[in-house]
Amino acid sequence: MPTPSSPVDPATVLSQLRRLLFALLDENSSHPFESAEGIPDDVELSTVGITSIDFLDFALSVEQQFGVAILDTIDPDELPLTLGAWQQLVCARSPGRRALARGRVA
Amino acid sequence: MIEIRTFDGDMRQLAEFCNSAWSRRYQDQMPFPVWSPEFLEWELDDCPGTRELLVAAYDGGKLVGVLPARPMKFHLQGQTVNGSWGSYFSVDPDYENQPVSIKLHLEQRRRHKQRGLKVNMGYVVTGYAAARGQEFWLKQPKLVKPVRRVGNWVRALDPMAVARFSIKHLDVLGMYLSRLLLRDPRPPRHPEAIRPFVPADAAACAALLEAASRRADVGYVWDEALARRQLGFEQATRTLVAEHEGRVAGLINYCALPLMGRAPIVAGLIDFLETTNLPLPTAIDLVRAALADMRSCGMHLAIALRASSIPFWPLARTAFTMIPAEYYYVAQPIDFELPDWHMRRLHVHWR
Repeated sequence: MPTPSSPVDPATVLSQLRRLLFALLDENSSHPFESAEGIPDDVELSTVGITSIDFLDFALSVEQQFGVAILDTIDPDELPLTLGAWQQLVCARSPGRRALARGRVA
Repeated sequence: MIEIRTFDGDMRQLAEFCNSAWSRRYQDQMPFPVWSPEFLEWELDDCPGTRELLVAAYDGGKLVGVLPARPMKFHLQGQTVNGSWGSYFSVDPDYENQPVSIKLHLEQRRRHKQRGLKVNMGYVVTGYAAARGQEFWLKQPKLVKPVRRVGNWVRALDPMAVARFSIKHLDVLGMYLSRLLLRDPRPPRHPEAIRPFVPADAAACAALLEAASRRADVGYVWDEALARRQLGFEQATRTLVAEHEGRVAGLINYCALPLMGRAPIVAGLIDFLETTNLPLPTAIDLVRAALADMRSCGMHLAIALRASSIPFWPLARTAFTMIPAEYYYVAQPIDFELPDWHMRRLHVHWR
């Protein structure tokens, strides 16, 4: 998990998101991916075999993994539907990013 | 593309959608209510601010999910809090792979924040593995707080019909046994003290319910308008009042609720029973009068929440039995910290 002062690396975030999603997919159903790295970042999550409950599980896992608040602060239209969109959201909201922004202002 | 917006249909469409979604998900796996348009009109239609809390998901013009709530002012351990209660959460099973539930949930929270509603209360079924709500709501401990487990009182009026309805083997067995032991409800000993509610009773009934609600940890803030709605909406509900020393001093409020299990039955669901100011024999008479009325209307089972809204002795003395807790009463505080989560006394109704 990034610390409040560490900037987030988008590539690392995407890699971790892939692993979270792959673990969720592996738990529940058959899916077309042989490894986490094989999940494209632009694939619609609704097309890879996850359920509506899995969407919630994924969001909760992201909150825990990256220390970001999502469910209590996001509008439904902002809910990311691809890994790439999740990556952008995490990078924008991560504590490290906010710390950097505060530093620039200061 | 799923669009989240306010439900734009009528209560008939809402009832048909909920019933279809629930029967496709739960048929033969767990009992579920079958909502009528009149019931939903009573609960959700034309109440101030309710339409904005009927959050729905559409795929084009097709309704694919609903998460309704109704604004309600609560007493919460001495505080008065604007909030809502919710039920009827339904998602089209064909949209299982879409983020419909989570979007409805996020939108409902957003609308609560916009309107300054601080808490959303509701029930989560835990007594059946098939119940989907527990997977969804109880996984979010930061947002959804279980208040307490709750169960029901039940009193079979037609034990054989209830046995055919029951899904759990133990319930079936219990109903076969109760057929041997249970008699038809006795009539009230002094029926002259009991009569149907009339609108002129609303103020007195509101005062009784408000006093009881204030004694609980969680309860509704009652006024005359809410009492008139809850007790007097004749298309969906029935209320009997008991007079003592020339005044309305007690009430029982119940409704017919069709349930689907292995077979359909109609339950008489007791929402509120207020007997604090009644002698116990009159309180028992009030329940007997309601049971006799339910029986004459063809209802098969009487149900009541095991909570402060339903006093113990009048039910224990009219052959009700307690069944294990099958729900959580849950609270979703929104930008709000409740003072104490150990809230035992609930003066609320079950939905």
